[in-house]
Amino acid sequence: MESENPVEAISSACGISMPQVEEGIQALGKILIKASQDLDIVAIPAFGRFVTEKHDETVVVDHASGKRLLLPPEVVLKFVAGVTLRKHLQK
Amino acid sequence: MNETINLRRLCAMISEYTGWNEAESEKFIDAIFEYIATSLETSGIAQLPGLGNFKVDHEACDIIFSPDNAIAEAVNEPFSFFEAVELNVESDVLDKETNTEMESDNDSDKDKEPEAPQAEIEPEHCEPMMDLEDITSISTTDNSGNDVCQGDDYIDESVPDEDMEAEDNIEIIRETKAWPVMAGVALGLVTGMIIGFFGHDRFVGSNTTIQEESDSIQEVVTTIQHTPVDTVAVYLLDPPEPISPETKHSESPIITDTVTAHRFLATMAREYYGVMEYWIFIYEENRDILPANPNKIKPGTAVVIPPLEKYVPDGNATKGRAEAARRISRLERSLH
Repeated sequence: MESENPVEAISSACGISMPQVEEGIQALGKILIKASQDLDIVAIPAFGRFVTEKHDETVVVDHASGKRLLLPPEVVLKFVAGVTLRKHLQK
Repeated sequence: MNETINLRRLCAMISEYTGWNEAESEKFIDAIFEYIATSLETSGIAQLPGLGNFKVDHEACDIIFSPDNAIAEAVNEPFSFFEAVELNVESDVLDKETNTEMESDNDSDKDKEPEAPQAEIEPEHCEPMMDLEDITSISTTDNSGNDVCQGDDYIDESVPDEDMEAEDNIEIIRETKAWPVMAGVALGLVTGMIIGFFGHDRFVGSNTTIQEESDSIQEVVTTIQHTPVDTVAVYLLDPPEPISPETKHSESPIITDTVTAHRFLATMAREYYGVMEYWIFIYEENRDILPANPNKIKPGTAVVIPPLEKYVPDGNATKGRAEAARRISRLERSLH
């Protein structure tokens, strides 16, 4: 892509104005948030899927200070690349 | 929950947000992910403001996705109030253990020290102490070798003055031995006489006392016969309350705790039960007030801590963990 700005690149690729592209990106972000809250998976064909993972509370040791910290549980949004994309990148 | 949103459904959802038709939404989605794939192929990095960053990990042959801060915070909203807590319990325990070890070592050292001087002090030249029993049971000899008789009344006057003190001690001891025996015998006789004098009638019995007692018994019997119904009726009206396990359980105090930024169900389970996985018991005990998703419990929620015997009657840790795992998996299936 010659254009550095992703919004411009996407706008020129799909023929949608830049404000609309930004609005679409925001909508996609909201959809991913809602999907993670419902523990749903968003699957993009030939690309990958966005999954939600919950990490339980863990105890970590700060080796610098020697303190033991109890980290609270957290929910994170992760991306799992599809086979097609991986093969494409390996090439 | 735990559904897979395919491309068609994703397009419909974007159309709902933006007002586009599904064809435009599909074109947009194709363009955005095509851009990402191309950027990853050319530079290994794809940045989309408002969505996040994609980066190629060549070593793992994987793509690392870092969502935007707004998305990450929104996704982690149920746990956003919680903070990392510094643990000092185990370190304090370790310190206490080391201190006790050190103290025990010091004590052991202290115990060793006085042994030597005590051994040195143990005298060989000192005269042994004489017990009272030994004095009366064995024949005593004075330093000059003369025997002192064991009889209570006989005192050898030929004993030198040097040993008079020992003789006096022996004599006093003999006298003290006899006096309490005689006093005890006399006391016993007097007591027996008194008991015999006053208890003679009671043990042998007389016609008048028996007759009086029978009359009193007769009166009691008659009173009971005249008023049997009321006492029985009163008993039936106020029966004693049966002791049931429920009442026993209700007598036990109810423990409550509050979910805060630093305390969640797993923390409470570890504190009250010693096992973190037992959080599911607390969750199921408060199922009425907690949301369906245990990850969405808000701080400030007061929960009841049930007794462990309610969910693990045997107290067996292995069974308890298995039960907790079973309940957790059942909950996860229900969420999915």
